[in-house]
Amino acid sequence: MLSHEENTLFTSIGAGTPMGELMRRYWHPVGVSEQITSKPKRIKVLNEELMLYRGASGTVVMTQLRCAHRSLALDYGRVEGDSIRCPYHGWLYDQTGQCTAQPAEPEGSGFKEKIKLKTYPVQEYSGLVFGYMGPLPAPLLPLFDVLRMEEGVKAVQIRHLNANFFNHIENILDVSHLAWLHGYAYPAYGGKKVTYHWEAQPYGVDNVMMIDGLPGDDEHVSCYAFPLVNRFSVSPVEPNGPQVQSVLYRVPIDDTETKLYFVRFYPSDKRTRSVMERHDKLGEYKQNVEDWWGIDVSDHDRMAIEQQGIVADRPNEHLGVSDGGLILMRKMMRDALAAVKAGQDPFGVIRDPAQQNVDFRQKAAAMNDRRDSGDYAGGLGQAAE
Amino acid sequence: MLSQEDNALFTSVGPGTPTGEMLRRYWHPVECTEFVTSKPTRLKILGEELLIYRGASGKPVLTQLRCAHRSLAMDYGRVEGDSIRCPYHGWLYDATGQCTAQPAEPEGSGFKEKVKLTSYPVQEASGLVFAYMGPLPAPLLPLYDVMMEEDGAKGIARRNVNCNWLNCIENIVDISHLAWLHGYTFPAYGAKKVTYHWDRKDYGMDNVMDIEGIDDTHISCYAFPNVNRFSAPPAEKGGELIKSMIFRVPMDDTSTMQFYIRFYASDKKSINYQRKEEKLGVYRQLAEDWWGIDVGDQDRMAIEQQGVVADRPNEHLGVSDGGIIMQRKMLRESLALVEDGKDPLCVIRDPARQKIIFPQKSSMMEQRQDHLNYNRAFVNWNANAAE
Repeated sequence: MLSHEENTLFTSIGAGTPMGELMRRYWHPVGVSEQITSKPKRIKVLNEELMLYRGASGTVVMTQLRCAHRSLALDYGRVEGDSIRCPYHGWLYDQTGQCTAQPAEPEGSGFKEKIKLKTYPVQEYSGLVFGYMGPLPAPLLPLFDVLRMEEGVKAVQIRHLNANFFNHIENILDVSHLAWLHGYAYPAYGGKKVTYHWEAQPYGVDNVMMIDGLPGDDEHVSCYAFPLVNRFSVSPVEPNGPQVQSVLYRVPIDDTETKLYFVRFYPSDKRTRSVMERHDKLGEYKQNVEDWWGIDVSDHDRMAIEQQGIVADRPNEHLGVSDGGLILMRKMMRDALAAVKAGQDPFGVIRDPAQQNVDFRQKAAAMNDRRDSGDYAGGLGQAAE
Repeated sequence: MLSQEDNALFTSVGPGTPTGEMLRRYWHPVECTEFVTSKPTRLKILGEELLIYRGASGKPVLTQLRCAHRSLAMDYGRVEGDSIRCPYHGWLYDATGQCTAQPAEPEGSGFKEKVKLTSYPVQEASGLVFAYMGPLPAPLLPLYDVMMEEDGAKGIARRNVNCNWLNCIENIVDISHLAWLHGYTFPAYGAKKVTYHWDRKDYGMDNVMDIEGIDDTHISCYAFPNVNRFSAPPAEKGGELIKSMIFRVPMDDTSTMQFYIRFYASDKKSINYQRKEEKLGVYRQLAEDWWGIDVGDQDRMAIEQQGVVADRPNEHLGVSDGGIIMQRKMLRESLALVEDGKDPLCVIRDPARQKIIFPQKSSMMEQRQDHLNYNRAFVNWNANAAE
């Protein structure tokens, strides 16, 4: 149970809020490389209206959305070289955000030197565009193992979630939902007795499950990378094939919406990549009548996260022993908030290049057994063609 | 840059707000003549829900939308003579809003005499129905030159935009956008070096431009508080410029109704009415234009995409934004006048000043690129009218 105050503290991510400042200490995916072109794209990240475009030199630029002059949204603007020009009065901004032209102002005016858009550092890796919105110098981008996998099929799925990011983060550590919410899709778990524990790791937490009926003393492990990422293995696309390696980023749009970047890697002799984007509506979930709950596995988690309430009602929750992961994660959040307040890097920030590659422990034999569902891996199958 | 407080002050138009009270001291168009019939229709003006219909005598009636009994929207009602009857319990209201029948009340009850709808004075001129929502006596309706034009084809249109009224108004006096936002359509301006100044006038202000490469000045006009007057390119090459004006009427704090009058000198006398429903964020595309948006939607894109209420605390105004500064000064003066119990700027009570003629100089408008949409509707209906 959280107090109402702490629930607000954990779930408010605008500029200047403690959680917002903590989240600004990490790199977050803000787009995928294919989507960032010379046509500017409007985005919202951590409650800030922003814009991304690719300049003539290939550089990706991330700036505030609105022209500093009279607040026109610059996604209606035009990219010229590495600069962006506002269509309203022709103000031009270079890739640092510096205003370099104000055509209607008198010759020799020094006004433009005083105008600069807010811009943020960006970098591309593994087909994702990452942005950093915190104090400089920026830390290193963590290179998670799935991102570094190259020989095979990579699928990036972008989804829109109509709930606060914290609902989704808790769902990572809340592994006891697997046996029920996803029980139909994964018969090895479905309705089974499981014991759970959580182990601290340099990147965050391992979720460890011992599942009743699984052969031997095998355990099932998925991982949480602090603060917004999880890493897990999912069922093979073809029976007896290799498992699909997955990493899932959650990026707060504002206090009520969250963007997901779901990267799946399938070892294969085909080296391909696909990008899929879905914009799901609150309260509309794909139906699957065979499933216990009537909802397809691809929307199970979204249903659960959205239907806790857009911001879950934590003052009225009741956590048990099987919710130990949530309690651990909240403790990590409190520690990280305290570190930022004390002027230190919070947990999970990497500045030492020797620590930049992050490898995760994965054991997921239980995942080999699954029922087909309408849409599972459909995108991957297409990408492999 | 405006403070957050001033931005809220200038952009809140509901009853009882200072800007709402100030704007109620003027006549505003609320509907096109042709669309006011015996079928009552719902309007929203200055944050108030209203109902307009045309009674049997031919006179438009403007009342509050909702029945005084149990708040049913009376656009579901029925016009009887010059009265409107609510369909819920049959209450009847005459053209003044007075309740004249309450069928379920006991015989001899005096209840209906105590019930009166809010209603507002209306008058028709130049294809528009104008209303006055302020304290009585009402001032005179300004007769702008385009309204008084008779011998030719007149186009009357209403069109909603999805933003606050002040975004629309600032765009009138913000003339430095012409060379960029509309630069493709009007090559005489396009990306040219222009110098700007603004002259205060009895009716509001003149926007004056000196454009590089053109000897003549260009003048368009702002009639305080919410009207502009300009000349648009001829519908046919070599024809006369089209005399145009646009009224911008706040529906509420986040949407505005624009009423257009376009006059095209012609030997055929005709009048045509149009209605357009526009969606936020949906603009007609035109691949040839610099910005990819057709001139018919360029201004709407700009004023909607500043934010439904523009973020003025974060704006940066330069020398070329002098018109906006002057317009805000006029707003402040008008608000102060109303607070002092006086008529605000440009309210007319002297019949000798009722007619308003605007200076217009816009020879460079004759030169324009063809594009998909401009005046197509105008040309179409003009052709139809000529048949």
